[in-house]
Amino acid sequence: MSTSKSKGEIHDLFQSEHSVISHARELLASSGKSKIDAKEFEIILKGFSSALNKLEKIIRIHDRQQHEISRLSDKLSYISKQTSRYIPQQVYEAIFSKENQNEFALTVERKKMAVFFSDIVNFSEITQDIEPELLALTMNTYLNEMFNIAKEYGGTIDKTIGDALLIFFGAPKTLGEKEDVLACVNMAIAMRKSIHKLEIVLQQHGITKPIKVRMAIHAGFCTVGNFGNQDRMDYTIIGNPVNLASRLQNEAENNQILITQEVFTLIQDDIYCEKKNAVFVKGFHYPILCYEVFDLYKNMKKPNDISAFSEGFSVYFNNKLVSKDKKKEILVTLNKIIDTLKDT
Amino acid sequence: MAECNIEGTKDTPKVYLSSEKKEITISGYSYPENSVEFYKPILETIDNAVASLKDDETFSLNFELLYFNSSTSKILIDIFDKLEESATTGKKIVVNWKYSGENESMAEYGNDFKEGLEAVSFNIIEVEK
Repeated sequence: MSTSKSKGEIHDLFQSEHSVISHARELLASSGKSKIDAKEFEIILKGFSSALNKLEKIIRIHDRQQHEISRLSDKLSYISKQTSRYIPQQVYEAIFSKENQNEFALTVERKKMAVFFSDIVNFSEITQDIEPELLALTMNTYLNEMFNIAKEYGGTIDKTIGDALLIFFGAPKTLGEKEDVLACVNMAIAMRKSIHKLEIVLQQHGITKPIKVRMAIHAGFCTVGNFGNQDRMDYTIIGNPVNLASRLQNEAENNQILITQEVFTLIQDDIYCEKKNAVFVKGFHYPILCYEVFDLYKNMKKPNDISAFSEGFSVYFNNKLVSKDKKKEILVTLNKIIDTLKDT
Repeated sequence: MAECNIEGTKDTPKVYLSSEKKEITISGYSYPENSVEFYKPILETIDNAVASLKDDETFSLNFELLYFNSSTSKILIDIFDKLEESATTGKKIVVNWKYSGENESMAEYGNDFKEGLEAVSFNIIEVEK
């Protein structure tokens, strides 16, 4: 459909009005200095009256149409705003972008993605005795904070199951394999750091139990896209990497971010991690190599931090973060290292 | 009476002429790429139908439009003016402007088109969706 009409097409629409003007011009030219015949003048006047009448109607109809379009546009904006709350931001943008004027198709693709899982440790116990309103406040405060962070780092929130979160990177938009994985790990670190903010909010409402989260990230080939039918679709990912990330998250300790070898390989230059013992998880018949994520190297260069990394030796120490009991253990370990170094 | 049956598209209306019933129905969306070109055969059909109308016959035009652009509104005004001229000379012409209750604006457009028509019987009718 053409939205703008050519001058010729508009001219054709007003053919009868143009003929009235032509007739008036011809009459004026032929009359010279003599008076124009009253009957001829009447014909012209009738023609102009009709044209004016039509013009008034067209403007009235056009104005009403504009008003209607404006009303529908407002309604569409409202619906789109409401809808955006129920679907992932990235998916929303993909649907409503100018590039996607055609229907957001029922397509799926297989691509390498970073998959993130998290949940709150013992969330049921923390919230079992609280009123529904306070439970809603707790959940919404937590999810609001997590969603904002996911959005900031470009993650696609696939779903929430209670306090559990599944977020992926790499679709519908991707920054590149390494960049997607790095953004995912950065998001996890930011989420862990924000937990204390949630604790402060909850303490104000009488929930004093500490909030701890478990997180895990794996990267691999997943199938991503719209699953469902024309009436209801779900933009989601499926595949073994999703299962592995979910299983690995169960192995994480309080406030621990575990990543697999595939993730570590891509982010090791940017983020300080420590190798953990390989784990066996349900559904996988081989040991899963995993690492614990600490922080970005750039974030670790703070006055309280001591860090050194080289082949066969890595240390990160933050006096504020280590408990008294742990300090004694660290001292024993360091003395062993010193004794070993002296003997060589 | 020449036949004039046009299938509707997302931009153009469905047009169906019943020679037997002496009526033409125009329904759907009307924002053709070239309105003058699209409506030319329809205008000719209406002209012929009205010209061949016998004294005891009535010609009915049913409009069931969902949306139309400004070019279409100009053409509709021309159609109604022409019909009014014919009706003034004694031709029996009825326009049924139908609209869905959910589309109140369409009733208002009907009133705009109706304005100034005296000899043509112009009915604005609400229909079920």
